[in-house]
Amino acid sequence: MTAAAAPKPAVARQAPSDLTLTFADGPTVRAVAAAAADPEWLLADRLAALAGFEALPIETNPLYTSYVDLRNARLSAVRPLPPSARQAAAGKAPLPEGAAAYAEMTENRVTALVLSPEARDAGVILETLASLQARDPELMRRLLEGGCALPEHDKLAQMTRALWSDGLLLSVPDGVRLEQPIVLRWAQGAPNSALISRTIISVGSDAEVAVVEEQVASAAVAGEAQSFFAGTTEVQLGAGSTLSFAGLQDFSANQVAFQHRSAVLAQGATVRWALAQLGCRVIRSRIDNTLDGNGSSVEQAEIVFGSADQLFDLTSYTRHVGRDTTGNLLSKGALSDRSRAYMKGLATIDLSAHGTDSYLGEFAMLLSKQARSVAIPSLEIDQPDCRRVAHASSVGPIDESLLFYLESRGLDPDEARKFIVLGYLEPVVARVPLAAAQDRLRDLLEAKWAASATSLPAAVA
Amino acid sequence: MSDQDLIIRDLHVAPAAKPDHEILKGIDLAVGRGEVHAIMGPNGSGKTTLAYALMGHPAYVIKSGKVLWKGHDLLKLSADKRARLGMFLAFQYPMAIPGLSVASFLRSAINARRSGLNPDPAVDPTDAFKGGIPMGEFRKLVREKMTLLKMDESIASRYVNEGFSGGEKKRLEMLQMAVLEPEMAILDETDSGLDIDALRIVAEGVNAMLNPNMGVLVITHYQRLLNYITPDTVHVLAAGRIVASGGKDLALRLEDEGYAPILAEAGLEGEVGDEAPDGATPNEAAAPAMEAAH
Repeated sequence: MTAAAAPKPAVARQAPSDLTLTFADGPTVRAVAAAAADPEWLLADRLAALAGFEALPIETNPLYTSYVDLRNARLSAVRPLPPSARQAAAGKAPLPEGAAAYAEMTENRVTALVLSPEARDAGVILETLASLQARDPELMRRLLEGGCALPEHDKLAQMTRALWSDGLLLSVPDGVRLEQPIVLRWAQGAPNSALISRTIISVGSDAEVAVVEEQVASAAVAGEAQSFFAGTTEVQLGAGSTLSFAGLQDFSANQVAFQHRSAVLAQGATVRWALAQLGCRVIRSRIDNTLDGNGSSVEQAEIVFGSADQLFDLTSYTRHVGRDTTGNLLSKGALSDRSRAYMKGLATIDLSAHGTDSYLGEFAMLLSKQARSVAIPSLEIDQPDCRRVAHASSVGPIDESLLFYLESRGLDPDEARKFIVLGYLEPVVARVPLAAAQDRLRDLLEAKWAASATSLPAAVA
Repeated sequence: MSDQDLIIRDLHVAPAAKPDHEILKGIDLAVGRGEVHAIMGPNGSGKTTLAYALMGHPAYVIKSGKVLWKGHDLLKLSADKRARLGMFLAFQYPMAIPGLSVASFLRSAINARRSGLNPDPAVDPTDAFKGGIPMGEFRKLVREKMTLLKMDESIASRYVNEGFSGGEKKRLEMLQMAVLEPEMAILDETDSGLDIDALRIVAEGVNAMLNPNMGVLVITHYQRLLNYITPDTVHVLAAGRIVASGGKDLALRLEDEGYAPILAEAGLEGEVGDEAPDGATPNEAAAPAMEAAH
C-alpha cells in the first residue's frame, strides 16, 4: 500500500448470520405495546416471542445453515415506525376495478380501506387489527394469542410476533364465495424505517376467496439507506374452503424484507399460493403449510427474477397430517447479473398421512456467469402408504437447444432468451386472479428483463 | 446453377464437443428452387448433422467447406438470420417452450421472417403491440393453414410443444412451415412418430406448400414418406458422404434391398454408424432438465 492511499472508512465486519437490527429488545417491545394500548395478554405474547427471538439461532434447520446470508442487510440505523394512523380518507379510496375490497398501507398510514357493497352485505370483514381489538377483543385474542400458526422455532417469525405494530384482518364467513378478489397493498421504503405487520386471513367453511397482495416501493424511497419490512400472512381455512393468494413483491433495491406465510387447512380445504419475488436487496421468505384435514391440498408456485446483487432466500415447509392430502409445490428462479437464490423446501409426511400425494420442485435458470442458485428440496416420510412423494431440482443456464429452436424461426438471440425466460416464469403470472394485477406483473417482468438484458454480456447465456 | 440454388461444397462438420471427430466428411449438393431432394441413409450416417449444420446449430462446428444461398455465404450467418432469409428446418424432435403460447410464437416468427435481414426497429417481434402483421390478417392466415393440416384451433393457446403428442409436434412444425413460407425447407425425419393417417395429412400439407420458389430437402429413414412426397432426386448418405444419387427408383431399390448393396458398391461395408449412439441429437441429452421444470 502506498502512503497516498486514502484510509478506507471502517465498516464493521458482518458475518452472514448477523442480524444487525438494533431495536429488537424489551424496551422497544414495551413501547410498541404501550403505543397501541395493548391488553395484557398481548404484551405477554410479545414478550414470549421476544424470548424466543433472543434464544433462537437465525437458522434452526441443519440442512440450511450454510445458506443464510444477511451481509447485505445493513439495518443498524433502522427504527420502527410508530403504529398506524388511519387516514380520514381511507374509507373513501376508490376500489380497484374488479376488486371486492381494498386495503392499502403506505409506510405506517392506512391509506385505503374499502369494501364493495356486495362484500359488506355478505359479511366479509376487512379491518385493521387495531379496529378488531376495539370491536371484538375476544376474537382478537383467539386469532393471535400463542403466535397462531407462526413457526415457533423461527427467529424472524418470533421477531415479527414481538414487534408488529400494524396489521389487517380479512374474514370471510362460512359459505360465502366471493367472485372478485380482495386487494391488499403495502407501500414502504422511507430510509431507515421499519414496518412490521401481521395479516390474518380467516376463511369460513365452504367459503371461497381470492387475494392479491402487492408489496411495492413507496414514494419515500431515497438514497442508499435501507428500509425494512417484516410481514405475515396467517391463514386459517375452514372445511371445504378455498383461498387463492397471489403475492407480488416488488420493493425497492434498498429494501430488506422478511415474509412469513402460513396456512392451516381443515378437511377438504385448498390453498393456492402464486408468489412472485422481484424486488428487495435481501428477501427472506418462509411458507408453512399444514395439511391437517383429510383431503386438503396446497398448490404453491413461486417465481424469482433476480438482478444486480439481489438475494432471494426462500424456504417452504409443508406438513401432511390428514389422509389423502395433496401438495404440489414449485419454485422457479431466473437470475441475472450477480443475483442469488436459495430455494429450500421440506415436505413432511406424518405417520397419520396415508394416501399423501406430495411433489416439490425447485428450478433455477442462470442468465449470467456470476448468478448463483442453490436448490435443496427434501422429504421426511413417516408414512410409506402414499400415492406419490417426489422431488426434483435443477440449476443451469438456458438450454442451448431451446434457444436454437427459437432462433431457427428467425428470433434473434435476445428475443429468444426473453421468450424462454418470461415463458419460464409465466405459470405464476397466469395464476394471478385479477387481470390488472396479472398485466402489472407481466409489465414488471418485461421491464426487469429489459433492464437486465442491457447489462448482460453478449457472450453469456 | 444460379445463385438462388442452395449449393453445398465439400462440407466437413464435427460436433462442437468433439471437434476432431468429423461426422460429415465432404458433402457436395445443389438444391434448386422448386426441386425436392431426398436424403436417405442408415442410422448414424450424418443426416441430422447435415440438417443442423445448414440451419446453424451451435453444437456443431464447420471444419471446412462452403454453403452458398441467395448470394450469401450461409455459414457466416447466425441461425436467426438464415431463418429470416427464408430457410426453415422442421425438427425431428421439436422443443417444448413452457409459458410461450403457439399464437405468440407464430406471430413473432412471421414478423421476423417478414422483416428479413434488415429488421425495422419499429417492429418488436416479441411484442404484439409493436408493429408487425395485423392481428386480423394473422388469425386468418393461421386458421387457413390449420385447416390445411387438419389441426384443432385450440392448439393456438397452448404452450409450444408442451404436453404435445409426437404427432401434434410434427403437425405444429408443418404449421410453422406453412405460415413462414420458406424458400428452402429441410424436413428432418418429419415422418417419424406419425401414424399412417397423420403421415398422409402431413404429406398432403407439404405437397400443398410445394411451389416453384421453394427448394426442399427431405431427410428420412424410410421410403414410405416418398410415396407421398415425390422427390426429383434421391441421395444416399453414408459415413458422412453422399455415396449415391439417383431418381425415385433409388429409394425403391433401397426399400427392396436395404442399404447393404449400395454401401458395398461404395466400398463402405461396416463403416457406417460412427456418429453418436443411436443417432442421438445433442438436444435430447439437454432437454429433460428444462422440460421437467413446470
